[in-house]
Amino acid sequence: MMVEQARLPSGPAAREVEAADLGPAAAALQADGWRFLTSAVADERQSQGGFRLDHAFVHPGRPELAVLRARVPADRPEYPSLVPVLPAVHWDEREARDLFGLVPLGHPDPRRLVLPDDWPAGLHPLRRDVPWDARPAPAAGAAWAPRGAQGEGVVRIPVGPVHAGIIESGHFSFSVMGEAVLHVDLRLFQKHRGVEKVVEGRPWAEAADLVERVCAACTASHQAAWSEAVEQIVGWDIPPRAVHLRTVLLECERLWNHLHDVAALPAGAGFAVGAMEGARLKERMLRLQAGAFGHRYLFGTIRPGGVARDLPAEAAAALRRELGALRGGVARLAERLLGHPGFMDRATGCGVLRRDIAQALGAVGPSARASGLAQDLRVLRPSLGYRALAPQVVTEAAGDVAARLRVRCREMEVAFALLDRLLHALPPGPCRTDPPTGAGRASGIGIGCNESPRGGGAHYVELLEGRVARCRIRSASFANWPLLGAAVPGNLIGDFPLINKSFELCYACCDR
Amino acid sequence: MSALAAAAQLLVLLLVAPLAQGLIQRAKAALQGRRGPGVLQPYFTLAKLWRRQDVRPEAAGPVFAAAPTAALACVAAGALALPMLWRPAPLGWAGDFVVVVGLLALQRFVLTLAGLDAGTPFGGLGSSREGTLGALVEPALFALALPWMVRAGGTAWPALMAASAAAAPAGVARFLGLAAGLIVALAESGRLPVDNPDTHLELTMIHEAIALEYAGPQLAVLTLGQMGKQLLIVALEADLLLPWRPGGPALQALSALALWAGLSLGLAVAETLSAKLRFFRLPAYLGAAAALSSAAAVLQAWGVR
Repeated sequence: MMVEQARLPSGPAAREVEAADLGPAAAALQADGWRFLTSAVADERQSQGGFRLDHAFVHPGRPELAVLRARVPADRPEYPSLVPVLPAVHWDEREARDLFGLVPLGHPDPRRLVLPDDWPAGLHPLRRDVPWDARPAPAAGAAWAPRGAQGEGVVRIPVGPVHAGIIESGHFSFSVMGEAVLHVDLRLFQKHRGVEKVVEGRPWAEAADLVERVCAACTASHQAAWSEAVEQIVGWDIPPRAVHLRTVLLECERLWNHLHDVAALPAGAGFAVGAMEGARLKERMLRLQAGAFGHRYLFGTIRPGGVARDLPAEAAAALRRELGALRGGVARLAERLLGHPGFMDRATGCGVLRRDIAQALGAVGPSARASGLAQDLRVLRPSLGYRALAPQVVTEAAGDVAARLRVRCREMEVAFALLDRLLHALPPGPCRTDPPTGAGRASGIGIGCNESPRGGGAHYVELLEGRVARCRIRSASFANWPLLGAAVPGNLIGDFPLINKSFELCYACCDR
Repeated sequence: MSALAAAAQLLVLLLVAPLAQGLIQRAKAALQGRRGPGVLQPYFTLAKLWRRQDVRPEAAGPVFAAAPTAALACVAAGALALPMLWRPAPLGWAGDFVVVVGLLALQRFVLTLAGLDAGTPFGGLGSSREGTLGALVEPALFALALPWMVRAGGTAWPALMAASAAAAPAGVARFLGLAAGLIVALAESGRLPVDNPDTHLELTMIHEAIALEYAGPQLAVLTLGQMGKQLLIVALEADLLLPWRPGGPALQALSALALWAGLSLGLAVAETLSAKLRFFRLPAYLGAAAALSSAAAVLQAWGVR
């Protein structure tokens, strides 16, 4: 198999529009087939007198991105909300309102998304004049009030952020009538770490160690997107072997995450045998990764310029052999789950995400594909080895828990096949190259993106004189969390854990 | 003698119940390919809880405080009205099958009130579900005795067991009864596919949602009561469906204990094979138990042995 020499798409060229024209411009792009990828705000009040507001789009089959850029003046930090034409940005805009104080006029939800209740009003932590270690005294901010149904017989059930099991911190407010859920409101961002703030001002070579820790579940995807963005800015070509190995790492990550997610589902329905079998297989995969790449969860594997550690030929052959052995076990697990009548009765027809809603809200990853959307950045905007591999995009129509399970099961099959091909023909040569001259003082904007196990995610990186000026990480979980609010109402409250696990979204990707 | 037997029976229920629980947990772990905790773990858990601080919700009232003891008392009284180890039952003169079923219903009622009295959403959720479950499982439990009632013409324990013993050991009615008994035992002991005793998912809980606000000694009493109820159900079904016991008192007791262990292992196997049912499927599931028992009763009435 041949992988063409990595020619990374050059940095995106931005089209400047008036803030008032953002909506029509975004609508026109969408009408042309462009799909929303990410957005980012940067505080340029010192140099430009205002804020920079970027929205990036991808187009099927095109290597370049389209970026809409608007500037918002510092003295009137507001702009017309894009939500009416681009509902997918409704969390992005709330986040920017909290962190930059940039007000989206006409946004349907005026509540805070990220900042806690006792954070003082008017203090926006991502603005440059707020130090990263600012610890304001608790003040009366805006109290978060859950939204929900009201009326006789409607009960409000608050769940979390502290749970009975070892789960990340998230608060869910259910409005229920008997056993039926009428509405669910989420409050995540409970343990926001400010990674995007802390990396500002650091040389790009140091920042990767922080950025990769955003999330342990899709760290290879984060590392690859970060590295791609940096490489775009400094004009850095990576060798074919590195291209190959990055693809291997991304597919390994997809495999272990899908195994994890598939194993979590039967646990949500009390089917412990399936959960334990899945957990065993996942552990085998993690140990394979520890042996081949030096870390169970793939931390420290991908860095700008290539991969951190080579995979020697014997190790690659051993990995390929072990994966072949694992493949049978995974197929048996899928068979056992999909053939269990009691479990499939729970999964079928439960937590349906309608296709039109998934599309409007910008669903990504297996959750989008299970609702019939062929949304996969590996095909939409193929980078790394995916141009030559052309992986099969697995879709299902039903949009329920069972469909999301089936998509993951079949995607594991695809991942095994891709890994088999990739490991069979690793190109020779170095696995990393030295940075081009001047890389340490490079300036510019780069956007790296790839299909993580949970869907497309992007890193928007701005360097100034070789230091990070802005980094915005938009992961698949950030994109997909709001889908839960659309998939849960109408179901039984006891089915919520199962539905939640069928999306299996990451809290840490919000708390970055 | 009778007082001694009563005390022994009560003691056995309370002492053996955690062991039965440990046995089930151990068997489930083995069936899932895990090592799991030892069979004695429930004793350690109870001892740990007993030493812990008692914490109660601010909104909780006297019902919440009294419920664990009251529920345990219901189970203990049921144990005395049931010929668990020896025949007749220590309090056999005071109660028959209906009394045992009634005491179990009372225990459920007490816990339902406790869930409401905790004043938290999960308690209310658990109570609502427990109430629904009770309305479904109690008829099914009562129907377990129907096949033998139609032959015995009453609900007294000696007559019921004699009728069951007189029927063909491997007759159709017995198999139907055993199938119904399995469903009822899984439901009454809060096991899959009805409830999941091992879950940490608050939103899916039934019994555990009621227990969620309890801590320390109160939780220990509540847990012991639940384990006792599980053993009581097993013993009740052993008496109804597999009533034969060999000669002397020692052998009788030993054979009863062995039978309970066997039935408990059966529960573990059945639970391992199941996923939890969607809550609104429960009427059909428990209705099936009642239907199986009723079919067995019809066969018995017709004289099919």
